[in-house]
Amino acid sequence: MSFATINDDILRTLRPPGRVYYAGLALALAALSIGVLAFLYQARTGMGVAGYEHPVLWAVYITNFVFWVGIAHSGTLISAILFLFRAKWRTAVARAAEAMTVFAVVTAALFPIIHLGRPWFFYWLIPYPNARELWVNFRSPLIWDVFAITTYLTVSVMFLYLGLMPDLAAARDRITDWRRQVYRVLSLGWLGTNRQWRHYMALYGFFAALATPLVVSVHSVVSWDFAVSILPGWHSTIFAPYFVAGAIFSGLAMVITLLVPLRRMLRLESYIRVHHFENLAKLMLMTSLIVSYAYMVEFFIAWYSGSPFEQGTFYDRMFGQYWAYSWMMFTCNVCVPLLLFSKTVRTNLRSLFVISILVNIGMWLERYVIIVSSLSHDFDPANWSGVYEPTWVEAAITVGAFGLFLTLFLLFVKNFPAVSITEMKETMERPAEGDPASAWPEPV
Amino acid sequence: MKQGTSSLIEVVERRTFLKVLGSAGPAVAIAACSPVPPEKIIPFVIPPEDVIPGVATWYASVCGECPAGCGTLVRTREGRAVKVEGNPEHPVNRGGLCIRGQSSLQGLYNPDRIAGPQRRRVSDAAGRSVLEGVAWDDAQQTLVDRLQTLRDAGRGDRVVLITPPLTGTMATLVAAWADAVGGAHWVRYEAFAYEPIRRANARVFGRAELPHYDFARADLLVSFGADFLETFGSPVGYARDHAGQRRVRNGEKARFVQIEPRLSMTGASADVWHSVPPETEGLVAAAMVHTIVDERRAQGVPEEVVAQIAGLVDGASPDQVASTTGLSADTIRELARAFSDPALGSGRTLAVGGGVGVSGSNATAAQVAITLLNYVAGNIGATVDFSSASTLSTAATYADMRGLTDQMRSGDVELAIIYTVNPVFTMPAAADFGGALAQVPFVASLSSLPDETTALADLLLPTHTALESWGDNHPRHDVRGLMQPVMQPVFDTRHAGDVLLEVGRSLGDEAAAGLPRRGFYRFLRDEWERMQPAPEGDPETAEPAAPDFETYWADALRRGGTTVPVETVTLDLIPELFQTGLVGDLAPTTSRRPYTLVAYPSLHFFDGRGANRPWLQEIPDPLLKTTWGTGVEMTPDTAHALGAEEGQLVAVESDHGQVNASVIINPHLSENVVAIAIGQGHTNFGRYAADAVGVNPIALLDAEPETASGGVRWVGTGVTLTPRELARPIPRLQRSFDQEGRELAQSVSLAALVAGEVHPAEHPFSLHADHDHPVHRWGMAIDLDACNGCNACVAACYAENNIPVMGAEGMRRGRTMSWLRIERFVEPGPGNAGPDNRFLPMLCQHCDHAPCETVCPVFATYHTDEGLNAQVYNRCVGTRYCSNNCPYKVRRFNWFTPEFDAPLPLQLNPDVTGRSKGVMEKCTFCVQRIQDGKETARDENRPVRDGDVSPACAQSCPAQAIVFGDMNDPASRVSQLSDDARGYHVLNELNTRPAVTYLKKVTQDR
Repeated sequence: MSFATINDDILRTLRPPGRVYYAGLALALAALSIGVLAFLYQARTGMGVAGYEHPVLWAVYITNFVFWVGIAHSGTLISAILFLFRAKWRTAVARAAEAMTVFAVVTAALFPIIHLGRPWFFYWLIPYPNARELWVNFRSPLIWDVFAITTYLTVSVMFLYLGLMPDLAAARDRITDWRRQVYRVLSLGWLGTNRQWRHYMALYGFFAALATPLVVSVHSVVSWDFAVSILPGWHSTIFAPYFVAGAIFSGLAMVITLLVPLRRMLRLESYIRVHHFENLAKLMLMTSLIVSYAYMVEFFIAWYSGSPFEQGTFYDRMFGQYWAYSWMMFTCNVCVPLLLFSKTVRTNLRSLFVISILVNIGMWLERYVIIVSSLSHDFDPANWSGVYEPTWVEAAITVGAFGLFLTLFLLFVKNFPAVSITEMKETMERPAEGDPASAWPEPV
Repeated sequence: MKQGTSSLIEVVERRTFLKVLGSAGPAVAIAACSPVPPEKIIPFVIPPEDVIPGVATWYASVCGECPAGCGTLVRTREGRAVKVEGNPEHPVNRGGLCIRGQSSLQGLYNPDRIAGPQRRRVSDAAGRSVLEGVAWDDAQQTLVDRLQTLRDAGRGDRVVLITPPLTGTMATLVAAWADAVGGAHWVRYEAFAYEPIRRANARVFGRAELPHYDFARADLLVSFGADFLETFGSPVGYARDHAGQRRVRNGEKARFVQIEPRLSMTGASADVWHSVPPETEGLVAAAMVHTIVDERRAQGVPEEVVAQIAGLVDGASPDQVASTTGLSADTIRELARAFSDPALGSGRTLAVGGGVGVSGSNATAAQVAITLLNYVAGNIGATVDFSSASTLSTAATYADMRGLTDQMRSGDVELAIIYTVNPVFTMPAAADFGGALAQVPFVASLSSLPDETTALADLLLPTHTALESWGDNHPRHDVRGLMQPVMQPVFDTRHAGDVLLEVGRSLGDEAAAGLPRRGFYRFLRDEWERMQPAPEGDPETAEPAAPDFETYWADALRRGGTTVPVETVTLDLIPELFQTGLVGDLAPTTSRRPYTLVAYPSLHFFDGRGANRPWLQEIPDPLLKTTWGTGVEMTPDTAHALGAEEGQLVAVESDHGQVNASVIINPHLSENVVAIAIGQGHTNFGRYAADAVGVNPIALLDAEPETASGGVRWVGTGVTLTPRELARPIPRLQRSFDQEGRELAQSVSLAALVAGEVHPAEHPFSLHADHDHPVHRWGMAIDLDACNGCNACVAACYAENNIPVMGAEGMRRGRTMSWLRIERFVEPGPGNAGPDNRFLPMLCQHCDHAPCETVCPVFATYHTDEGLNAQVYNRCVGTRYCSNNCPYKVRRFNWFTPEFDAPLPLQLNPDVTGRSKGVMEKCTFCVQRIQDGKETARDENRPVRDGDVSPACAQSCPAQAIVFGDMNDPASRVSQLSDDARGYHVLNELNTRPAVTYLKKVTQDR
């Protein structure tokens, strides 16, 4: 493999797509349209078209919000933290993970708006100067969310863009169709000079350092939506680390879920290799163990607190009307990942793919269980509701979110290099002396 | 141009004018594009008297919902009634008003009301007919023609007039009218006419009356299935007397024992609840009498009478009845001894037998035993008062109605006029009143609402509701209420009295001679002038005051009526009592069917008349917390035996009919008893009754009346239950009545309270600074010992605060919009005292440290400087975080923009903002009433006094369990109650520092 073949192979992925791609894109767009229509119907008719059952006033939308914010975590982890740790295996998967991060944050950020009773006033949550002298309540975790999510989105976009810049220049030099102009503008006149590289590398390191604390902070803030409230099942000091670990866990699972078909579709098998997946699986196993530990701590503290409210809530979570969701969640998040201790399992892409999907389901259920079962079984038994069941509107909007995410992701991988050309070259193995191909490749 | 004196024309320069024109032009153009047609707004040239926009006018009147005749004050705004409250000056209810009375507004503005006169016309060859609208004159002429024919043929006695048990001027008018048309047969029909009580009093005292029970003097109350806090007699007045008597005084609290087969809301307030099989209450009463006479404890009864009574109850000793009633002989004996305890003094106890609760085949005998129990305890003339007896005694018995049914079927009735009542629904289906009515050649209906009876009418002459009518009401011998219209009629309706008068006068001079010459209003005034008592002389000057009717009339109108002096009635047993046996008649009937049905009157629907009112459907039942429907109640054991689950359909079959009913699990039933509330299962009573999933138990009842009294046998029908493979759950707003040790509704034993072992809980330490409340700090105290769960406060809140109803589908998802709910918790009672029921009215606690306030991202909810937790609807974006963080879960989210079917929007209170979809709302402590109280005080140039401000819930409470006021004023009642030893805050450990203090329920161990 030479620098030239890397260029050839990766830029080849930008060529006009085949039928499978178009079919996938059409499916994603259809899902997106269903979601948009469902949302418009909900906004016009009222939130009552969703299945909310008093006192369960947060449900699928907030579950989706936390789920997608969680998905957004592995990208930054892989690009920033693993970059700082010089874990070179990250190179093959970093670009896809970063793109996934950006699109997941975009998807996630829609849900707090979708879930509003009056979504057309979403901008009231932004502190902007106005003639009515209205301000936001900085004591509310929802305002912290606004800042956390917007910051994270900004930094993720910048980070993705920065990593893309040399590759955009490569694409500019190779692609001849209308996109060339786009690449030309976006690559900001990149020439690959030594001075540019020096500045670039410093900046990249700086961004990695800036993004690293965000991995921890964003999901901590999201967890405080729950932990800062007084509801049993939410009000807990372990929520921040518990949610961060869970977020990375689910994000890694999503990376695997996306990369397994992607590498096949873009024929990148020689770049994204099995040992990359194995490393992701190891990380996933570690975060799964942290999450399992958090589950145990929650139940222990509920028992140890002696509070009838805490004990009631956690008993209800295991044996109440949402028991099936809880047990499915434990199976997917605690038991199934234990298979990854086996090297055979974690180096087999089929089994890994299945496990990653189960983890995605499990983590979605985790948020669902925390939100719905805690709300349904609060302080006052007179309120305890029947089983909340989402309606078709919530299902359609959830499907629409996947549609949005996949649309963006599919558009990205066909228009931008899905694997970093630059970094592949940096980390590729040097050819042995005397090899006919030992001549140092041409600079790009 | 001089500065300061410029007129408008001078100021408006050409440029300004053009600017205005420029901006107004497009605005007009845009407005013209909107789909809403423009409406002309015409100002009053001469504004109507008494109507000041923005200022409420109150009218005193009388509630027409049930025979109790409570006094009302009706609040009107801009000429329309918006709220009905109890009249504090009226002797029957003295301020409170029940849920049915408050819902009379939804009778007035009911969208299903008959909008104008209608006449039936045969529409096709098959004989099908339709009702078509006609003019009032034509409609009345139709009736006149029919009556004229009959009268001229001398068959005026073949006319039947069925009305409610009218009293006062309307009764006088109807009696005169019946004569005028040639001897029409006038039947006063009331579904719950308490025939056994009247018959029993006739047998014991020779007086077929329903006495007034003085709950305010009963130190020990034994109620045999009397739901006197719900429908029996005069529930609002009784609730007030009862609650007042049950307050802890000098370390003592009056005791209350309820004996019945199904736990009623009334029984839920009892210290001791005994579950007995249906139709055995009389045996318990007889055994108590047996013990009292046997142990020589009868008070003020001559020896020979004691001996005679002993003869009557011979064979009903506690030991002999123990196995039948399921109560141990010792329990009965102890209760009898307590009931005749000389330490209490004579006439300080009270036994009440339910009008519908005790209505089996032995009901009259049972009521005789209960009356004797009162007699031997010296209660007659004391707590049982015949001098101010109810005028319900004039009502026909069910047996009379059966006789009428037979006459109609045999063709002896040629014309029936039915005013308001709905016997097709309320009489046992097996009696087939509807089938008989169809045999009557011509049926005219004077009803405001369409129902099962009007559906069979040939002519509909819609009448005013009570709120649109002049009238008077004479519910007890000592009370004469005056009813005045509070607004113009909503529909094209007429007063029933005027219709009868006009029709009667059209029958010729001879008929007209017997009738009042002028309209009903004039007749009413004349009657009152006739009845005006001779003015008393001024005792100081000894000069007789001038008899001035106008002053008297205006005063009566303002007060809502007047009281009438009555003579004390002394009663003694009549000898005929001892000529027949008693104990032999007390044995319960046996049925070949395995279960026994108890059909009980519903707090919300009474005999069914409330079923088309959305509030009454939506507000949950006080005990079962069911909404929009009724089902068959059975114990978990019965359900288990049947293999049925909550919500499953079960075919309930008696010898007389069959219904399919949803199972409602209710553990508080006697063995093998199933219960169904009366009032639902309408087939033709408007949209809200049709939306409800109800079942009508009257369809299962025996058509044969109780032999002795001629009353309906509501209790004791044998039924068979067959589970079906269908489910139709009734939405329940509370599913668990177990508070799981969470101590939300707390109680304290009387002994501990008297011993001074009870102290109010202290607030935990807080890092946050307290709020500043410079002028007022509004607070509330709710006495759980007084609250009986009657839902009056909930209805008041709906009416005052424009709370929408969400319907059965909404209730299935718990989406009630009620700002106030009454939670019910059941704890195991001490010993065999039955369940300890606790009612906990739950509303926004207006916390000082409110969890909802900190989490709202946009400050839509905040703490005011008067201690209110305010909600700014305009600012709310609908994150619903506040509700999640509210431990009391009292916030309500608008899932949809509320809809009120026309003309129900006329009821909306203009002082309360309407809410749209997507915003949160909750209790405001009736901030508009606080504002009103402050403004009144300011107008009168004085500070706000304690009692000036009363939220709707506190105002309506018949038991006066809710007290509201300024906590900054240490002398205010609410401040003092907040420091009461029984005071506590719900979920105190969360340190939310609520402004609502609850006073613990007081239990008695005895």
